[in-house]
Amino acid sequence: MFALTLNPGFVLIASAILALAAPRGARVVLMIGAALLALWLLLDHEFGAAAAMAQMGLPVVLLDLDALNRIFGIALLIALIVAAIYASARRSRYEDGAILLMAGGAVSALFVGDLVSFVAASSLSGLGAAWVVFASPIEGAGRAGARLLMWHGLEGLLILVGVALRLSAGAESSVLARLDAEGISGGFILTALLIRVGAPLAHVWLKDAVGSASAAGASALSVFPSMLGVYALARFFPAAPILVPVAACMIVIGAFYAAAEDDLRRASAYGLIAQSGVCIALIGLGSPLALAAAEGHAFTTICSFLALQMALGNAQHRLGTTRASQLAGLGRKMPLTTALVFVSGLAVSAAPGFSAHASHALALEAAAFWEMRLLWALIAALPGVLFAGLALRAVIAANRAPAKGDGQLHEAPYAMLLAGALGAFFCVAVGLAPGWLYGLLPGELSFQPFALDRVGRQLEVLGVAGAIYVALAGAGSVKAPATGRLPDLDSLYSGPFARAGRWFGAVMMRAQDAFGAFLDGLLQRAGEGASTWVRACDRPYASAGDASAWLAIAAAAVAAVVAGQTNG
Amino acid sequence: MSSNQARGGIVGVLIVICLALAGAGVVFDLAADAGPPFWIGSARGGGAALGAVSAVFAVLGAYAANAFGRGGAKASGEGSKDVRPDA
Repeated sequence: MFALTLNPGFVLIASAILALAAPRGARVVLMIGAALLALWLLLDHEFGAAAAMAQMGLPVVLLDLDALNRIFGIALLIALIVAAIYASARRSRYEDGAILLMAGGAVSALFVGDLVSFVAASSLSGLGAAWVVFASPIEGAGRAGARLLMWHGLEGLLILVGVALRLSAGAESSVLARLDAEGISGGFILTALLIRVGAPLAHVWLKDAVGSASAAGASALSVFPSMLGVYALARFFPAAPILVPVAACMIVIGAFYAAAEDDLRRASAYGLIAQSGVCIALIGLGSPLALAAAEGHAFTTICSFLALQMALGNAQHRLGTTRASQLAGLGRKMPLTTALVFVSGLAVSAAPGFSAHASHALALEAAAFWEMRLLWALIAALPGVLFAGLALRAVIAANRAPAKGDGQLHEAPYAMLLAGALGAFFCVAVGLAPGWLYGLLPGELSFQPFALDRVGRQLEVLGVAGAIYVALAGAGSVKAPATGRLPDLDSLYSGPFARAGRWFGAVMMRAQDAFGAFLDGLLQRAGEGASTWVRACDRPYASAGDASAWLAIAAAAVAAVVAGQTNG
Repeated sequence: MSSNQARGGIVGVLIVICLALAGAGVVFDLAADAGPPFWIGSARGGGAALGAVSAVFAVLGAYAANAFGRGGAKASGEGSKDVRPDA
């Protein structure tokens, strides 16, 4: 019987090339068709390895399907379909190709079964992500793309070193398996993956890329790169204890900046880092329940943040900014967009009835099982911060009266609204019928997310956090962020570090010039001395006194040598 | 209509929604027959306390942004509408 054993991601990569030549009307069909075909390939295949071969003595497994990569694959491919509808509202063949390449690399990396193929597919996805930023028409996107390329380059280098060290143990160690985070090869790979998910000190790349990408590009960037990292951590480092404190820091940093950042697209990227932190903490806990919760939470995080970025992208598309301080009047001019921002804000805040609640309740249960009190508190409190910082802040800002003279503003294009509504609908659909999501998780899971105590606690967190925040905002006690960029780690390397680098470079250039001048003088003097000496040797009788002196010295030296040998 | 009036309208609506959520949460929490809490944060009313902490955290974040965000460079990407000719 004929059976296709093609990696679903390869379909998307091939489509990326076709998208560069396809006319505008055909591109959306191509993107959606490719995603549907990939989804069919994924769902049609039985669990297990297929399409394996050997290359230079190394096993190459191009397709290895199991419950872990299946749930990530379904989420990413559904996200690609929605993102394709969203992207059809504007014209950019390069960005369409880049989105397909990024998605294709990420989906390929999910389903390969060996380390070398994983590195190749993951790097391709990183390249696609940088291309998405480069293709953005937004000012400063080129520099942001270069920075993203550097981050992905560093990540690729680290993972390549780790894989090379691992392969030195033998060809069979190329097959994907659990790695030791404390070993040197595992340490390199873990560091690379922590960069990919936006761990502390490497968390700035995501908001930088999302803030500089177009509306469609930012939606795709908030889904594919970091979720591939979450998958890889679940694949390689389940139950690695180091992940728990790292994830706790991600939750705190992400929550803080999500509430503080004025640019709501960047704030949403920080929120994504915080929710990714929840997934990674659960991977670090490593129990079957925690791993299932991590996979489920990754799925719902993909849905909800895609919906939020698309809704915010509508404002970016029309206004040219998503700074909360500049959204006055948006509620009247773009009411559907404002409603979508609020609904998707509820989705990322894990409100009951939305998909994230189903996985969030599971995450709390897994943390409680190990009595991780601090982690439990962080996971439980995070929705309150996201609700206040993303949903309520955006709605309050959008409903401020605009300044006089503000021009007319139309709603976002129909395709963008449709995609945003689809994203929100998907969050609600999974939220109201979470059994479908639980059915995708590994193992039999019997869990009631709508138990009264779970729903009650979540409503308390959101209701009390929202009421206090709105009351303080209404009383004018919530400070509006100052104009300008909120300092983060990238402020160092684009601020003091960059200035220090320029200063150091100038000093080194001057030092090099001075050293060159000194060396030139030294060589010139040595050359003059040497030429004088050579001239003297060439013309030994030019000066009789000098020649006789040289002759006497030479004769004395020869006599001394002969005498020495005679005595010896 | 002034800026404050416009904000007052939506603030009122949002406060009502949030208080309704909080009230429903408290009622559900009290009505639930949950097992013994594994720490005080998961006890009855713990969600409300965590919500209050969340709100304070968000407000402090805004204060920090106001204090440290001034005078910085304009963020990249600002002021550029996402429109372009076909490529």
